[in-house]
Amino acid sequence: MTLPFRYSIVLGLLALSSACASAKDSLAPMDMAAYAEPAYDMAGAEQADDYASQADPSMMTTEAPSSGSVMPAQVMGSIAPTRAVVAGGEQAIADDDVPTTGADVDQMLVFNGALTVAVQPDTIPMSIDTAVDLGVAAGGYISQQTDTTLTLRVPSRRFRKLMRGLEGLGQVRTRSVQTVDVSEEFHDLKVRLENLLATRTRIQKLLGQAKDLAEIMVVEKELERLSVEIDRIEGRLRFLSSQAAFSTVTLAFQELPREITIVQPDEPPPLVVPPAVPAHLVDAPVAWLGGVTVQRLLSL
Amino acid sequence: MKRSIWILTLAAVVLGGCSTTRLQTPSGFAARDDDSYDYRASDGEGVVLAVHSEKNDPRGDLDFWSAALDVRLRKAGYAAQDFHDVTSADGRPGRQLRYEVEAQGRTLAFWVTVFVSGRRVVIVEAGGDTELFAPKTKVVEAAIASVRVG
Repeated sequence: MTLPFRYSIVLGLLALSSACASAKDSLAPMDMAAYAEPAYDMAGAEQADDYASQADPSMMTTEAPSSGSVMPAQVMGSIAPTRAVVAGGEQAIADDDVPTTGADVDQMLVFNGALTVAVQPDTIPMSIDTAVDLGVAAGGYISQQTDTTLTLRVPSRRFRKLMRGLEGLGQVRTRSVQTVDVSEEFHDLKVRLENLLATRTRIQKLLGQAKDLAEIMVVEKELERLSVEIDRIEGRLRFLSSQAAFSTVTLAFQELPREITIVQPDEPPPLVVPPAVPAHLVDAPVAWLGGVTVQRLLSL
Repeated sequence: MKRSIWILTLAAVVLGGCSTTRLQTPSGFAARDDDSYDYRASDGEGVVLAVHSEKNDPRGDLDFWSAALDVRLRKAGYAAQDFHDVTSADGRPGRQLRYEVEAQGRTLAFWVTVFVSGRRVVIVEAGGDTELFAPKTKVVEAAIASVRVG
């Protein structure tokens, strides 16, 4: 029995779709490095790097992640997290860094820190400037700023160090750190992306075998759907990469209560209270003295 | 004629020696005749001002008479509040002794101001319910300062 070519195309698409659905599970254990796609990986890194460079281009360069990075290579695959360092001061920064995670941590982590700091009255603008300086010195940049709040993005490996520095700006009222492990999501997206790309390649081959316009339309529609899905996953991967490369620190400043100096009114001169009269004193023997009383005075 | 001059002179000396000491009646007060005092005035709320003079016998100075009065009053239960040196309208130094005393469920203020002038001791007394007396202290002080001891 010979099937028309149209039906063979449709059957082929159905077979590929079912293959895509099952490929996720079958490919999951595979090494992520085998699915490296430098094209979008570097794009994500460059995006993050662009932000960092905007903060202070004269102070920072970028380099490949080191083994101590928050995003280990075996999790990240070839997606290179951006690591901003002060130009010419790599060794110094490496020495004074306060590790954000332990050496054995093997997850792709997104750090979100929030601080509420109370500072002396009328010093909030100055404190914000200091906070910005600390963030820029750590290789970060301003994400958002208002009169009393500041959001900094800083390389994740310097997240803890920056938090420490910011806590020194005043009295810490609230402090919170939230860590989100996006390793699993990142891994799943990578696998799905690889499968979709492979599927698209196969469908593109089928497109060359199409005989009439109806077949071409069917194949192209499927190609369009696949492309949209691929774009969405690539965007999400770039976002996760950026999020993990740079942590977010949100600062809210409050003013400490003003010290009120209570000025005491001028005190009246102290009363000169005569000492108590000793009981053994004898009254002067003068009769009229006994008549000097308030009762007599007031007896009208 | 010569006898008349002597009689007039004697009368002037005698009458002058018996002259009573008075002060300017402050606003809000009314003076009244009183046998017990040389001068006595009161306001509508029972604050009273009075002056009387006594013979300076035994002969004492301002310290003596102010101390004698103070001892007598404090032994009678008056609580000393303050002592002030004052001056009469004619420049005589005096001493003002201020007390409070509880009497018949009332708290009374009592000021005794003493002037000594040769043979005479002039005592100015002022008193009343504390809460009524307090707003009038300036008026009372001004009235006492208007005393002419002579």
